Amino acid sequence: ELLPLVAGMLLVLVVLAWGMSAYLNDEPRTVGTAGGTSQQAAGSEAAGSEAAGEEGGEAPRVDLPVWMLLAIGASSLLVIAAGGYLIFVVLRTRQEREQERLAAGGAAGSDAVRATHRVRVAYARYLEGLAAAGLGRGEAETPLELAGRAGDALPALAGPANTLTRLYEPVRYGALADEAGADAAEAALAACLTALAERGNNTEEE
Amino acid sequence: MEAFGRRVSENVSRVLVGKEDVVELSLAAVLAGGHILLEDVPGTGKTMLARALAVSLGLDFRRVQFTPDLLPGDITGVSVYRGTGEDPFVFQPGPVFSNLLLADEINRATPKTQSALLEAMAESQVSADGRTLPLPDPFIVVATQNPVEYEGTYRLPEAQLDRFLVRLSVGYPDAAEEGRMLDRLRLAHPIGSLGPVSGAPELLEARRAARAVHVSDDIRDYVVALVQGTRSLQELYLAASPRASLALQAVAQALAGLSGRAFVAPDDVKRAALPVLGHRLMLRAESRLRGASAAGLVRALLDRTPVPVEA
Repeated sequence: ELLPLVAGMLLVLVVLAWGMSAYLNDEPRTVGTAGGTSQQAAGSEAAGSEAAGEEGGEAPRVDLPVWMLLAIGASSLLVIAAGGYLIFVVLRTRQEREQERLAAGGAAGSDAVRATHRVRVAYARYLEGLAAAGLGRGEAETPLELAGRAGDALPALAGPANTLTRLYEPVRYGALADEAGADAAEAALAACLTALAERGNNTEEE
Repeated sequence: MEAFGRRVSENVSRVLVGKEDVVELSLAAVLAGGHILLEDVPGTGKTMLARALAVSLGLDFRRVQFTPDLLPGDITGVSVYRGTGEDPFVFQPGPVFSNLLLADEINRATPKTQSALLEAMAESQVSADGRTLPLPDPFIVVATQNPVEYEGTYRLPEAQLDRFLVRLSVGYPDAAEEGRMLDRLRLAHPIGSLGPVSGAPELLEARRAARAVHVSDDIRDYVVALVQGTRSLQELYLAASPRASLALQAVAQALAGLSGRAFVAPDDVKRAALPVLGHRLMLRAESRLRGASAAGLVRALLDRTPVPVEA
């Protein structure tokens, strides 16, 4: 996309360089006419007749053709416009890529956030279920200790409670979450709640 | 790291029957880059644990029996007069120039000799004859002391105790373990046939892996809460130092790594708490007379410090 633009700019730069070179080559001669007088005035005392010998000759002034001046002006405008466009294109491309990257990362990030939320909600509901069954967590009790105590109190709970705890710990302490883990955590929660409900039914029957 | 730990633990357990927990904590201390103080009555296998660790890890091992007449130079090394060359004195490195130094019955040596170990343990270097000499890497000190014998001993100063990452007690085996030990050691002691299952480069790599184990903000705050908790205990005249926080975190990381996890769980911190904090808490005399102990205080602290879980 940018190749013709760059090539055009290079061409314009060449024309500009050529024009400027011609102009600058001409300049010393133009300046030399005025400077020649002063140099001659300064040098007349030192050089005497040698300087006087050159006084009569005036360097010819070479004016740039109008078309070249117009070309230089137009080229300058073109270079400025092209440069501006080039900067715009580069910035726009960079912004688009950044947006694409953020969109991709955001999608992955939002998946992880959603999975984390699901696992933590599942664990919170498990804690509520345990508390309702009289197996509330002590504030200094770790998830693993709680799972052990719950399993001792209700053997049917041991398996799913352990599974849920093993899925919860990496999420809570390791920031490691994925959708599959969240699905498994919700399944383990369902098993825990079933075991707790069965225990409640048995207690009522007794 | 988990495989490395299992390999070493199984090898050490061939010699030390039924002490998997102590072996794993020792290994965690080694992985955390610390020194170990083994405190127990004679005959429980303290020296055997140090030897088995050194052999299993494939480390250069030296043993020094600490006695009241032991001099600092006997540990760090001395300059010997050779009488040849520009410098007629040649430094003869002491046993401290090894990968694993067993300081047996460390509290039998004078404080001057004990403190000669201090620089080596803290800085991994030795200053002798105006020169500073680096110690090999890894450099691990495993010191033993008998907690019931006070005659002819010099209690380790608090500063030196703080240099030990953990204090462990091997403890008596139960009946089943003791029976298994008799069976296993009937023909010959397995320490003679124990071979290395690792090497210093693998240990250094495992140390790097242990340091990379993730510590969440909640777990970090839990570690801080535990250490800060010791500073409000009225029973103490000296609570856990900031070095204790670092030690607790490092040992918890190593334990997590040995369990095959990439993150520290509260159970790792709880498990590391007593070995790391126990020897750093100095009880007031009146608290000791009332029956308080550092272990009891740490357990009480663990029982009342909230663990970060869902509200």
